[in-house]
Amino acid sequence: MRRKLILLWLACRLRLKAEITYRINWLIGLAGQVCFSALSLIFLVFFLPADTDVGGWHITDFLLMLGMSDIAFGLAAGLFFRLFLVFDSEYILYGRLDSALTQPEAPLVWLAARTLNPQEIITVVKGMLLIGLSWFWLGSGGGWLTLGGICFFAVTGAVIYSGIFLMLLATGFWIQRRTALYAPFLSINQLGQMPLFIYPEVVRLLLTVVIPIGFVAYYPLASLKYMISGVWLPLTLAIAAASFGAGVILFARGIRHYEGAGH
Amino acid sequence: MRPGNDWRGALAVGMLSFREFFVYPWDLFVTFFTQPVAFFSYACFILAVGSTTQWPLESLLAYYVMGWLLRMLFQQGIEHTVSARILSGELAVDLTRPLGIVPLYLGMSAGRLAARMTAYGIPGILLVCLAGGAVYLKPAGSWLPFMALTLNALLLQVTFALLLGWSAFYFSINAQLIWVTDMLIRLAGGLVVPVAFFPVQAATVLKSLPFYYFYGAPLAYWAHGGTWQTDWLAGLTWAVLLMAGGRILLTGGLRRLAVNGG
Repeated sequence: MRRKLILLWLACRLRLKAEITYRINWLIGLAGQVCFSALSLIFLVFFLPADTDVGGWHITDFLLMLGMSDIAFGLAAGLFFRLFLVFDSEYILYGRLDSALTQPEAPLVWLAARTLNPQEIITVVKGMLLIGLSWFWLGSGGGWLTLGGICFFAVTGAVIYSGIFLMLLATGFWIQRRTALYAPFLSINQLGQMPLFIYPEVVRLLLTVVIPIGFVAYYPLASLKYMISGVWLPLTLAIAAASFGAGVILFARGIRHYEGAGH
Repeated sequence: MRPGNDWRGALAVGMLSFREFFVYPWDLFVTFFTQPVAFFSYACFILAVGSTTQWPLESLLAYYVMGWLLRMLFQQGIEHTVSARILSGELAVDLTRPLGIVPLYLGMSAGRLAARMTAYGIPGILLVCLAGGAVYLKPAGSWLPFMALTLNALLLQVTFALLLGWSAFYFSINAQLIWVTDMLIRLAGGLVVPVAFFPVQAATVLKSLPFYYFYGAPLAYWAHGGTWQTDWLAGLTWAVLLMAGGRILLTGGLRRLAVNGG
């Protein structure tokens, strides 16, 4: 485990150095992240004044949820999103997966190290700032234990996202042009940044059972804020384990199915 | 190079782009049904909040539904194509074609627009009419000003996409610039929150930028009516200014372009 973490840390430093080579591009990327957050914030602020609520949810709760989603997505995307984008084209069609299979490290760890994106750490910081804004400045309410729970379940959310990324990228072993799924996934992900009770029943079911994005932020937060039953907290942990496990198993099956191109 | 060649060439490129668009029908299917999902979350949120804004709920829904349709048509990705060709050096091949590079990319854009209209626009309009009917349909008198503002918006979109593409002459990578500009267009163009809802000073600043005329002007007219001539004229002025800016970027870019003979 220690060796894997060192490998990821070294790869992260190397990638960061490479990205900072194009400084202006990197700085513009930072500005983009700020704009992206501004989009969500402005939308919330204009439609949900401070003194109103939606189904018992105030703007502070919406900010907490956005923050949790950002931390979860940032952590998972930093490790797997770039791999998710390029896996079928670069590693399967061009056969570069062959070299991953001959490395002394597990193929998935090696691939994550090769494609990780340290810039996503900005998304994580952004999420922390949103939680801080809601908790300390706007006075979201709740004890330190709740705040600790929010941070813990944000990391659990990252495990759920990682599982989903792994499952989607592993389908590339069997399906061509799987990359077409990334835009829909991002759209569906946007649904998960709002409390699920605003959606029709069928969408709620989709985000709970089929693509468990509801467990990234909505269910744990609502549960921690005593808006729904506490049963959802252990259920979130179970879903995270199941999602990540399913992703790893599907990837391992894909590796067995893969036939090298002889590179 | 004769102007006749440009027209014929642009038409041929447009027809090719149109056909290329339908090569992967699965992508079209997935995009058509999932792109609205992002707008769906906004719509559900607005419905849940109820109309706490100065516009009635029907106007807000009409605004966001039409916003989704325009987005589907306008998002052609010409800026990515142009940038990729400049950065990879393929522009050298484009410069040897029997038509100018501006008509070449305009033809590409027209082909993609026609394809997007066929694959997304018409089915989208049918779907919206079936689902919402009278909420989204407006009296016939509203269509002409709306179309004038939309055509202006399209002109601005294409001009700005080319301008972004030409920026690749000056940057080693311009992917983040394209992404940030898209965010800015969504924010300042009123695609996320109608510009009329911002505080007066902020709305005035936003309306003085070109981005408002990309989406905000036609959508605000569609949802809320009002005068349109000033917006139309301002949009057109911005289009002319952006065209001039694009021309300067292209001329300067071609001057510094070093073709490696590959």
